[in-house]
Amino acid sequence: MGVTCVSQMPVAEGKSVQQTVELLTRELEMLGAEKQGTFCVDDETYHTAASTLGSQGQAGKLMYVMHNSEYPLSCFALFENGPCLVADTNFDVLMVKLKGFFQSAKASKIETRGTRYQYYDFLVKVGTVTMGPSARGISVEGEYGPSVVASDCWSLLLEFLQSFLGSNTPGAPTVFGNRHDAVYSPADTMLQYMGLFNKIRRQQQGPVAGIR
Amino acid sequence: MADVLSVGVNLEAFAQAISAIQALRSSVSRVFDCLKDGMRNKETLEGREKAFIAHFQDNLHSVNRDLNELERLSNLVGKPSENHPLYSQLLQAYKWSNKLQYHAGLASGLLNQQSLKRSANQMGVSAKRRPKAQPTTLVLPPQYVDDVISRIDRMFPEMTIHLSRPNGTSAMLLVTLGKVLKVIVVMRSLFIDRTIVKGYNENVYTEDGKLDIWSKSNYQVFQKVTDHATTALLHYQLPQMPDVVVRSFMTWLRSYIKLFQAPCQRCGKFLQDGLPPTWRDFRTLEASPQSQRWLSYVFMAGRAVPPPARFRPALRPGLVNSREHLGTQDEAVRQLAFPCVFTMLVHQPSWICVLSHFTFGVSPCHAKCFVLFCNLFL
Repeated sequence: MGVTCVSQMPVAEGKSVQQTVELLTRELEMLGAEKQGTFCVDDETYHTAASTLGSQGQAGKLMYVMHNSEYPLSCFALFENGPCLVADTNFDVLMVKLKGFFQSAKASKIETRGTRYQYYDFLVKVGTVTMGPSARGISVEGEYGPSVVASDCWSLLLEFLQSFLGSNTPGAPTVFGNRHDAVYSPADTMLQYMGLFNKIRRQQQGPVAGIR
Repeated sequence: MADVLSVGVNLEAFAQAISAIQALRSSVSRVFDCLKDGMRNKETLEGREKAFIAHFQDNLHSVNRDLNELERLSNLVGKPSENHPLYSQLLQAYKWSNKLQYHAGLASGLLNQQSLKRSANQMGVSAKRRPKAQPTTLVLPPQYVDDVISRIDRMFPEMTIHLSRPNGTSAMLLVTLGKVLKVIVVMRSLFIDRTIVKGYNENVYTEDGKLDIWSKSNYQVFQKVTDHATTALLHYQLPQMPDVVVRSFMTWLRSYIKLFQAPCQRCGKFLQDGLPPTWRDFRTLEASPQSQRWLSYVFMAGRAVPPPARFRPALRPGLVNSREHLGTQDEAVRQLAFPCVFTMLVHQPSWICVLSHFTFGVSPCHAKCFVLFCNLFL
C-alpha cells in the first residue's frame, strides 16, 4: 500500500469516454507499462433515516459505503467530512440489519471499472465512471508502492503522472495536505474516490451535453 | 541446517555427546591433578602408596567410562548424508573468511606504516601517536558490539537500530530509517556481512516471528538500494577499526532519508526508468541515478594524488596501455592490483573499490579483487 493520487481525466474534445480511455491506455503502453488485470471501485449512498432525526433537529447525514477490488476483503464506510471506517465484507450484511437507521438512496450506486497497469513500482488504474448504464467520466489513479508518506513522494508521483497525462495532471489532493507525515492508508484513497464520485454526481445534474 | 542433515542426525544425542566430552575432559584433568598432587600424607609408606594407587585407578576408570559413553553417543549421532557436503563446505568457507580477515588486518597495519605523504612531518607525528596493534577484532565480546551499536543508535535521531541475536552470537540489526525504509544488517562480530533493504510497510519477519534475512524486497527501488548497500559495505573497509566502519556505513545509509524527495543532482529530475536517484556517493552523499555514478568517479579521479616518482619504475611494464593487455578478468584484476596498492599507500583506501568499480561494476569481483590483494602481501 503506497501513496495514491486519484484524479479525473476530462474527456477529450470531440471524443467519447471510450475513445479517451483508449488513448490513455495506449500512452501507458508506449511508456512501457504492463497490463495486469482489472479493477473496480464502487460506492453506494445511504442517508440517515428520518425517524432518528426528530428530536435533535440535525440535517440528515450521508454515508457512503465503498468497495475496492484492491482490498477484496474490506468494506469502507465514510461520512463526507467525518471518519472512515474500515471493516470486512460482512459490513454489507450489517447495513441490511441497520435499515431502520440508514436508508439507501435510490439509484445512487456509482462505480468505476477499468484496467490496471504496472510500471516499475508504479500502479496506474484507468477506469470509466458509470452511474447506471451511462458512462459519466474517467478516473485515473496513480500509486507509488514503496513510499508511505505522502509529502515525501508527491513530486515524484507528479513527474510520473505528467509523463502520460501531459497537461491534464492534477494538483496535490487535499488529503495530502491534512496528513503531513502520517502514514498513508487505504482510507485516504477511498476519501479521494468519494470526492471524485461526488464531483461527478454534481456534474451530471448540470448540462449533460458535454459528456457523451 | 537441521533440515538438511536430518537424515541421520539426532540432535538430542548431539547435546548429550557434547556434555559427555566435557565429562571426559574433566575426568582426564582429574587424572593429571592426582598425579600432580602425589601421595597423601598417611602414617605408613604402604598406606600412602595404596591410597595413591587406589585413587589413580578410580580416576582412570572414570576416564574409561566417559570414553565408552562418548563412543556410544557418537554412534547414535550418526553421519550427515554425503549428498550434501554443505557442512564441510561451510566450515571451510568460515575458516577461509576468518583467515582472510586476519590477513587483511595485518596487511592494513603494515600499509598504514608506509605512508607516502610528501611532508615527512606528518609521518613523524603519526608514528608517535600510532595506536598499538589491536588484538584480533574477529572475536569481540558481545557486550562490546552491543555498546557500539547503541552508541550509533543514539547518534541519529531519525534512525533506530534494534539488535537481536536469534542465531548464535552474530548480531542482526533491524535499522528503521524514518518512514522510508528498513534495513536488515547481518554482522559477524563487528564486521557487516550482508544487508537487505526493504520498504517501511513491508514485512520483515517470517511466519514464526523471526527476522527474515533472505527474502528480497517486492519493490524495484529497494532492490536497487540493497545492491548499493552491498557495494557500500564492501567500500567502507578498515580492518583495525571496525566501529568506524559501522559508523560510516550508517552515516551513508542515513542519506537515504530523502530517497523519494531528492531529485538527481545533475539533471534535477526525480525519475529515470521509473526509479528515483538511488545512488548515494560514498564521500559527498550526493544523490544520483545509478547510470550517472560513473560521472562521480570521473570527478574524483580528477583529484587523485599520483604516486611519487621514485616508485613509478616499479609499476609493471605495459600498464600504460593496460586496455590492450586486459585478457582474462583475472589478469585484468592482477594488472589493476598494482596501481591499487599505490593509491592505497596514499591513504585513500576507497580507491580500490573505486577502480574495481570503474572496470568491473558491482560486487561479484570485489571479493576476488580483495583476495588477490591479500595474496600480494602473503
